[in-house]
Amino acid sequence: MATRVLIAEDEPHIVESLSFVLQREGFSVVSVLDGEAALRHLRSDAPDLVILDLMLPRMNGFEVLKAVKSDPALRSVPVLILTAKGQAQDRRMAEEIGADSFMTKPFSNRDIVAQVHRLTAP
Amino acid sequence: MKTPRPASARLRDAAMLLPAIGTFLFLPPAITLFVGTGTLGGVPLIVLYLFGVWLVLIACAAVLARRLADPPPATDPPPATDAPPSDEAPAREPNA
Amino acid sequence: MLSANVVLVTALLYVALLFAVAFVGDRRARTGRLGWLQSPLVYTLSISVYCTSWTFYGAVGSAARNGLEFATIYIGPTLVFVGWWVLLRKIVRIAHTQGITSIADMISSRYGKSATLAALVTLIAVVSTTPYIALQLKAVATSVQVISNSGPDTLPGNVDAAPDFHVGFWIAVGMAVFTILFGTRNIDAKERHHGVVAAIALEAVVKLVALLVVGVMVVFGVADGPERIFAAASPEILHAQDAFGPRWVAVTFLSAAAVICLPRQFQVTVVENVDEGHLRTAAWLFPLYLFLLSLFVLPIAIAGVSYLPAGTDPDMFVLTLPIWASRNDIALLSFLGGFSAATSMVIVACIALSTMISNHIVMPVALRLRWVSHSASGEIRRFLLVSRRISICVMLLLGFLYFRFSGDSGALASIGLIAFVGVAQVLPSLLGGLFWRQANVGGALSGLVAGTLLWVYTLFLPSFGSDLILSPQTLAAGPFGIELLRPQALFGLDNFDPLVHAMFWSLSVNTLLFVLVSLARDARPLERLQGTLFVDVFRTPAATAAGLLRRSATTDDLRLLAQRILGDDAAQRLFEQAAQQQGRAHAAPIADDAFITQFERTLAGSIGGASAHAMISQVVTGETISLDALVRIADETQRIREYSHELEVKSRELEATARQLGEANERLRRLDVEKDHFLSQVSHEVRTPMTSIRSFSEILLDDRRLDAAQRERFLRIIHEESVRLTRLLDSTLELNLLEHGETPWQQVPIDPELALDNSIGVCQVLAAGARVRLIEGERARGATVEGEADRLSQVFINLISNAIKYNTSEAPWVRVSSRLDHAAYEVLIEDNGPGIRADERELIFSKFRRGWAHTQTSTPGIGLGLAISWQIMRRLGGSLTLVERSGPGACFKVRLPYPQPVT
Repeated sequence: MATRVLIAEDEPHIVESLSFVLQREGFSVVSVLDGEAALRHLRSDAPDLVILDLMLPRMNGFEVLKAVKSDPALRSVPVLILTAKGQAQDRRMAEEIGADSFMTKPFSNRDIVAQVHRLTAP
Repeated sequence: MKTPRPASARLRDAAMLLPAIGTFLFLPPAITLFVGTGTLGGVPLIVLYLFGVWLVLIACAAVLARRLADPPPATDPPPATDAPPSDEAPAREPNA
Repeated sequence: MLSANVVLVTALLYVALLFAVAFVGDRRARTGRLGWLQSPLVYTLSISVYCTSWTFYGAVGSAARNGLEFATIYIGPTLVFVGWWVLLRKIVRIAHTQGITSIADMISSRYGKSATLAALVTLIAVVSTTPYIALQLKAVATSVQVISNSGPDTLPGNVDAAPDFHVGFWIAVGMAVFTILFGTRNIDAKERHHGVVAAIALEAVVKLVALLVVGVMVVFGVADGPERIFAAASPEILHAQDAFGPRWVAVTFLSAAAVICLPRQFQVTVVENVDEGHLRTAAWLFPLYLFLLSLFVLPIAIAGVSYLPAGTDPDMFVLTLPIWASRNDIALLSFLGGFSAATSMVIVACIALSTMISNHIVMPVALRLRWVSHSASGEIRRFLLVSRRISICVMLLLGFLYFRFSGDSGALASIGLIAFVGVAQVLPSLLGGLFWRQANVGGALSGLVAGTLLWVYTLFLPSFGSDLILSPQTLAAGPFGIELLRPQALFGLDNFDPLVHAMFWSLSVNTLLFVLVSLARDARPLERLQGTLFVDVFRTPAATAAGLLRRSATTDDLRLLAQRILGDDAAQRLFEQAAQQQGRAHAAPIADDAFITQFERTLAGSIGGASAHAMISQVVTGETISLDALVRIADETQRIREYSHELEVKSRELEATARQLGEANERLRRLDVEKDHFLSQVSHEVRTPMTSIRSFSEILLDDRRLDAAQRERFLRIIHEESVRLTRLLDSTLELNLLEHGETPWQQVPIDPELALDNSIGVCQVLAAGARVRLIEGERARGATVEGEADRLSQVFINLISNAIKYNTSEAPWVRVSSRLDHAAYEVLIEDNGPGIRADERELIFSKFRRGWAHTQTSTPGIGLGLAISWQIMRRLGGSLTLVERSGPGACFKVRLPYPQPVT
């Protein structure tokens, strides 16, 4: 069974490129465009990894991350944070909450694939 | 803006008051208090009073004259202000 | 018994000593070795010219008759000097700054350099001083007679004999010679007479020592201690309750006035003062001198009354007591003391009066009658010196004649106090002039004339005795039998001492007229100027004062005038000095206001303020007084007020500056935060398209197995995102230009409805694509505004397309309407979308704010549109606002005011 990755990102082109790259590597990809939808999906069908953008409509990335890490059922799901802001402050905050990895846009496909492999390795 | 009066202002006031005090003591009715037949060491009281007051006035005047600072030059600001810079003093030329 | 020869030789030797001292003093001064001549001690001793033979001999006489009353003559001056800070300091300062030469000059200068006033004061001074000089001559003559004719056993008999007028005459001649020799060397009356002052200082010491020696002899030699003396005192002398009545007050007041107003006192205290600081010493040393001088007066008087035969003249006790005690040496010393007192008074009085007569009476007349050649250099100088010398002789001659014709009438006895009342007439004008700006020449003249006439009528004329001028009948019943006008009981005021009576009437009428006329009359500009310079002498800087009088003259005219009055040498010196001060070392000085003022001061030092001003006026043109400047320095309270106002303004300014700085700082901080925010936003906005571009280009590079359709799609995305990036950069630049651009837009009259129609047309396509209904509401046609049609369209399109793009409603619509009110054209753009969250409302016009960021719709776009629109409207002079309203959706209002009619 393929490893399932949830992409929560409001920029459709980024979702498209990420989905293409990850699917090519054999992952099963689901994407949502806002924070609420991401959390809903997490609760109903816990994926093996979440790629979470910080600037999301309705519920921002930090809120989603907090909800995931404070939920005993979801706590073990690794979270890879994506951000366009690239500020050290955001990174520290995300790591404090419990983000497993952190990447700044724009990123190289090779790097993000390596990170996804690392985080989903048994 | 309440500042304690400088000592020189006190002295100036004293210098103004001294002749007034002297006038008061030398003129009736104050002086008539000492008219009478009383004597001190054979000298009539009134004589002692007159010359005594006189001497005290002289002594006060001597002390005051010695301690009174020179009057401030005319360009100085009026007294009892917190010494502003002198080039900001009044009596500026008008903006003709 | 002393032989007349011994007395004569002693007196001559003493006179020779005085001449020698004066000569040495003058020599030292001339060679610049002033030393002790300029010491405060010598200054103080010279002031003791106040103590004449009248006080030297007369004080004891007064004490014998009236007990302690003699002390009032000294208490008045004591109070004035102890209070030097109040009065004398100001007078001396004014005299220094104005070049005052006499009391008459002082009064005249204060009241606009009035020549009339100067002459009047001079007249009063001459009238009251002549008998005074006579009194001195009589005192010396009498003392010579007493000391050379009396032995212990012949004391009572000879003193009542007629005085020896020969002695009096030769004494007068001797004094005239001395005064002319040492008192009129130079025409500059401001220049100190060092020789005279030295001699007078010596005489002051002799006076004091003589009286102290006699006193010590009486108390410890004759009476064996003060207790015995006072035991012998008759009770009525010391214990009279009424001794301290009106007369006590009156004499104290008069002596205080006299020590300022007497011409000779003004001369030594003010004119001869070289250093204001000397007043500090005189303030206590002169009262101490008076104290010591009066210390033994009472014991001597008591001893005279107790030990000398009845009928002995009490006025000569100082002389007769040593003779009675057979101490001829002390008698001789005492004689020299009295002689000193008399001569010093006469000498100084003659110098002072000769200056006044020549400057204020002879000079003005001479100038008017052209007695003096106006061309010859130094002519006026010579004329002045001659007139001063003649004045001295005339004064002494008058004194001698007065003595000659009234000497045996006994009228001289009270002349001292009578003279005091005479000179005290100057007091209201003097004090008023020093402290009251409104005081003017009219008040001074009327007060002086009335007071002097009353003094003459009520005191001076009656003093001649019942057979001279005023008949006994007039004295007793009044002129022509009018009782109300009795000289010594004017208007029925008959239960007072004649002195108190005269003083009351003359001084009160004098003061009253002075005040009333001053109040009623306006001062002339020159009076106001002088009044200000006098009253505010401590506050008016000399530099300010110099510029107040504006006039012009040629340097040649001034030089001519200087040569005529001062002589060639002095004129040359004056002009060279002035040229140097102006920084024109080898040229003539420029006749500017400051130089003319300085020049007038110099002349005033020689010929008095009034004459100097008159002479200057002959050569200057266009004399004006800067009233503005005068008013500005005039009112001291005004100045203080202005000053504190200035301070207040300053501190307010400081506060405002601090506040502005704080605000600027806060603004900078906000800008800094905004800049950080902007950079982070730009970074974010750039990173997002870059992410897609990078990612898809990597895919295209890495993956060779892509099919053509995929390849094309990915390329299109890269292209789209590049366009997006370009748009972002363009918008950023545009916004920057809008915010900081300085070049004004060309605003032309346009029809805004056309721009709106165009915008709606452009957006129809977009609306159709998004299935949003674009409704045209009510439109207001016919308005004209000023602006740029393209810019206005840009704003409309931005607002309408936003409303379309972000509308997530089930049945989305956007309504555009326009309306006119009294001042502006307005466009409303409404939608039924999600609206703007309350907490976003304030920020939606900031950069990178998308009011719709919380909507689920993810539409490509950047948050600069509203900010740009807002800036455009600002530049067009209108506004873009969010309208508060209930219900769903947002409503934006664009408002453009009508152009202002050009008037």
